[in-house]
Amino acid sequence: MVSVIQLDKLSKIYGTGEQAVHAVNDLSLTVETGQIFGFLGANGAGKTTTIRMLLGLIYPSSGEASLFGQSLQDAGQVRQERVGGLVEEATLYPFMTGYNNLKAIAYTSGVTERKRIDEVLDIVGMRSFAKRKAKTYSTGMKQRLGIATALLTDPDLLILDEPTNGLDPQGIQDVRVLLQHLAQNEGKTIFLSSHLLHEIEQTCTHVAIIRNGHLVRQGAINDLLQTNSVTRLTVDDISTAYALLSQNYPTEIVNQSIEVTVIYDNIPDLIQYLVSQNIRIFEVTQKQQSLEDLFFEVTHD
Amino acid sequence: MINLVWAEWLKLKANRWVALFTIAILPLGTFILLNILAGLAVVNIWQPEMVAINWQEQIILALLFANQLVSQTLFIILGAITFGGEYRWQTWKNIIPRASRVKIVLSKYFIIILAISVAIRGIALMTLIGSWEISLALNISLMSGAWNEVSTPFVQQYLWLTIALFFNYSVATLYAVIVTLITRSTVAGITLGVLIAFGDLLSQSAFDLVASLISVDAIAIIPRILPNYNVQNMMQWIISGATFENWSLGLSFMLLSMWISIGISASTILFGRQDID
Repeated sequence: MVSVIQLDKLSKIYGTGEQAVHAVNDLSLTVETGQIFGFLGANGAGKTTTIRMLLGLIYPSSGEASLFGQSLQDAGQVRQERVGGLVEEATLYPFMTGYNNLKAIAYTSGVTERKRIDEVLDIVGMRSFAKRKAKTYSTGMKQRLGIATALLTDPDLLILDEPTNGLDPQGIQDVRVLLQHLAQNEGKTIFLSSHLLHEIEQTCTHVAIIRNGHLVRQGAINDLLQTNSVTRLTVDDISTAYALLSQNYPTEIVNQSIEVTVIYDNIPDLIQYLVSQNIRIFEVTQKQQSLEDLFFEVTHD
Repeated sequence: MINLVWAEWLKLKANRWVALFTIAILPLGTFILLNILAGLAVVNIWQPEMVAINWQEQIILALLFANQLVSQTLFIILGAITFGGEYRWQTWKNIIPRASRVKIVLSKYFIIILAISVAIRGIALMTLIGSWEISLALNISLMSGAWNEVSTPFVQQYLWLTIALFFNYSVATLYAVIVTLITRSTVAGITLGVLIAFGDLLSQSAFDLVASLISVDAIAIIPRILPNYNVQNMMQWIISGATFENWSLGLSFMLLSMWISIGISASTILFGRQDID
């Protein structure tokens, strides 16, 4: 099956010579149908640059990328028909009402049914504010309308850059529920970047983490968080166990227990090894790593 | 493409102060001026002078007045805002993924050209309405006496003037659009657009001066290919019935069409290759 998004050594360099800034560096990743894909990275890591390349706002310096199997250069039609996007904050015409903003964008997208405008207004809960001029909107309202514009064409792929920016906790939860509904019930694929790691962890099925334009981790959230989970062991001889384990694994002694970072699948081997060394094990618990732990682990020096 | 034009129309309609200031100000100004004259006629001020006025000539004069840098500036502003507004509000990000860049640029040009046409027609219509009001105030027939019957030369002269005006405004708008696309700034588009239009206006004198200073007559010919010389050539022909020496009306028409085509193509290519940050 054709991947929804496929990036292969995609790079974007701003400027030339010594002034050159490598915003995205040899980035390769794959997003499949139905995934809610979280795209994580610190400020300046290259998230927005990548999203801009996907949406055709800027041109890649090198590498290959495709949307629904169409290379980015030839993806104009696919982008117009099957992709909805929101880059950074929602951008609206301040002198137009929310409704007319949607109408102008709908016409630009080739959507002429007024019913669809009402539908997306209902989806984002902005129907009652639609007759107000956009310049009177709060950041959260603008963001909701931005999401509405992304939904206008009923796209198969939603690319959202920081969609919860400026939203209150209720708004953030609403967006999370909406995205999950769109993915699970309407089969849409969602590619979103966010700084809210907890939100990503709750919303996304897959993530990619980038650092300085490079991909540092990608996969299903559950796999990633289990891959390097911390296992806590309560044993009779802590010092011997520590000496044995620290040779092969990152190990710490915490509160009379040993915490060892080990790949999930290797836990049985580790236990067997300790037993073979005559260490008596009283308790084994797994401390689930959070996305935040993983993020800081892979993005910090 | 038609949907894109509708989208542009919605934006222009909603941005009513810009539309009023750029498109409507000349027709409205004409209407207000003529209504003041009608008012004066009602209270018997300047009545004999107004009875003697040839109003067909006034329509021509109104269009000639519209053919000035100050009027061009209005469309320089419109062109700069139509394109520059999308940078200012960062709305390019919202529309570029939705339609081809070429079609977006062309739809904007379509709306600008429509606006220019509406403004030119508006000036003529308002002049007609204002003149009719004056004729009522003076108690003279619109189609007789001071007005005379609408003559064929008047219609021809009027139509040619609207064509010359159209070229004049379109070229000025293109200056503004290209500068705006390069600088991504509405203010720069307006400022440099006016400066370029002004430079075009002064080009003949400047090149004449250089030609005489360095004694190379050929240099004085260079500005003839620029838009302003050819608009002036058209005006010369419209007013006097003869073009400038060795420069036919057809050549001017061709050169102006070429400048507009080059301008639209250049800006489309320029925008098509532009990163939107």
